[in-house]
Amino acid sequence: MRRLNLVPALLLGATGLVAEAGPANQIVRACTSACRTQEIFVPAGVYKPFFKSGTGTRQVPVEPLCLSATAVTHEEFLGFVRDHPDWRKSRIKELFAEASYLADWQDDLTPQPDTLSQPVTFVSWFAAGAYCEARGARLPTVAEWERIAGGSAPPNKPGTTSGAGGSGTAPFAFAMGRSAPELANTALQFPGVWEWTANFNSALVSGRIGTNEGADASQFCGDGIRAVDPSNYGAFLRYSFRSSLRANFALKNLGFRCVREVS
Amino acid sequence: MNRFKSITFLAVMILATDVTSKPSGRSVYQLDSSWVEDNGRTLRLGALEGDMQLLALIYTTCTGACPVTVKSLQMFSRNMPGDIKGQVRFLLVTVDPETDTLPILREYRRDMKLDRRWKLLRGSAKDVRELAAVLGFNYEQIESGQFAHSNLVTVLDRQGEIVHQQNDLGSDTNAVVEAIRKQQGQR
Repeated sequence: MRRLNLVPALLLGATGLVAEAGPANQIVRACTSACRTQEIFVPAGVYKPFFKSGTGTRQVPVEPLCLSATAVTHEEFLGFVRDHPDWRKSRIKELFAEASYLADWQDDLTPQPDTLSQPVTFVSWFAAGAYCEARGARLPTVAEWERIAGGSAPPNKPGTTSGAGGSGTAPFAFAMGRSAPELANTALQFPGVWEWTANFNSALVSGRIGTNEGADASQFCGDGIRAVDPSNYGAFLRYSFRSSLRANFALKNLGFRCVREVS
Repeated sequence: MNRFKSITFLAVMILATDVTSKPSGRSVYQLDSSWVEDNGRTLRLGALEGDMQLLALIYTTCTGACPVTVKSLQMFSRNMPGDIKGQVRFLLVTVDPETDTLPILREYRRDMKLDRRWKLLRGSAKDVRELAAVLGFNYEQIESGQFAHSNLVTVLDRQGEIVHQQNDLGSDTNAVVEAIRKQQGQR
């Protein structure tokens, strides 16, 4: 065993990389162990925003994170509302969640028994954020989410789920998340729901769904609405979906997962 | 008799709850965020209760849409019909609290000649994001000192409920006036 380890070390030494690779690997290992089970360590990286600004493609550095391997389930959310009665469907205020909040639950503490291990949906941004906060975590930002899960999918036809990275039957599953190449061999899952982000309301896609309000450059400072990769259909869908949301929306196919900052 | 009493009691209770200004489940003022005015005073949104508010999110280094929004609001405040004059307050919240410190907001107040009916608010990035999310105001920092953002004006009633929203206020303020008049009628 000891001998096997020596081989890469020697190779790295020969190429002069050992000084860099050694400590970096140690950091990765240390951070990985800081993540809980059911969490995946995501090393620091760079997010390239989908929309260009005046000065061209931006590069947004993203800090290392512990990411929940999959979306929060009904069962997990049930545990949360048990401990935090203000977030039960009979108690919630309309500002924090619209009437459809937990619409598929029979009452405050009764999700459908056969869905317990499935992603909880019909949850608002406020409820999702409160859940994460109660667990010492938070919602991922758009930059974090896109850098982890926003890879360009192979050109699937909408309506097919092949290559979606999940078993969901949602028609837009291909747009609902796809592991970044460096996370491809992890337990990261995308169960076929849209996911809330902390700053979902940062996207400026004009022509909102449900209104005939057209694109109007005068609505915006700067010219922030040109896509970096116009062929990334999934990203288009996500950005326009996000820009149509309000914080109290509770939708059938919208769930969430949490991230924790690596201290 | 007992029954009559309890019905009367019930009726009084219902009337009483109707009359008192109970915080509405839709009120933006339920947000548990803390703000600082340009004069240094801290403010909870609940303290705004009692007045109609015209609310816009801006940042002071914005050269595009924000000055236009503020100018439109000023024009509106000057030309408001007499029956709603004195009913309305103005609220400007910066989306760039990092740059827009209190001295800079005070300078902005001077430059834009904003009188005492106007409040300039600064909050944490998280609280600004939350307020914006509730209003349906989208914004993103593109680079240092520059934001892409919607150009939304919101009318809040006396309890902090959104009663009207409008993109690109301009001189098209009829709907704003109507929204305010409607609230007056319900006073």
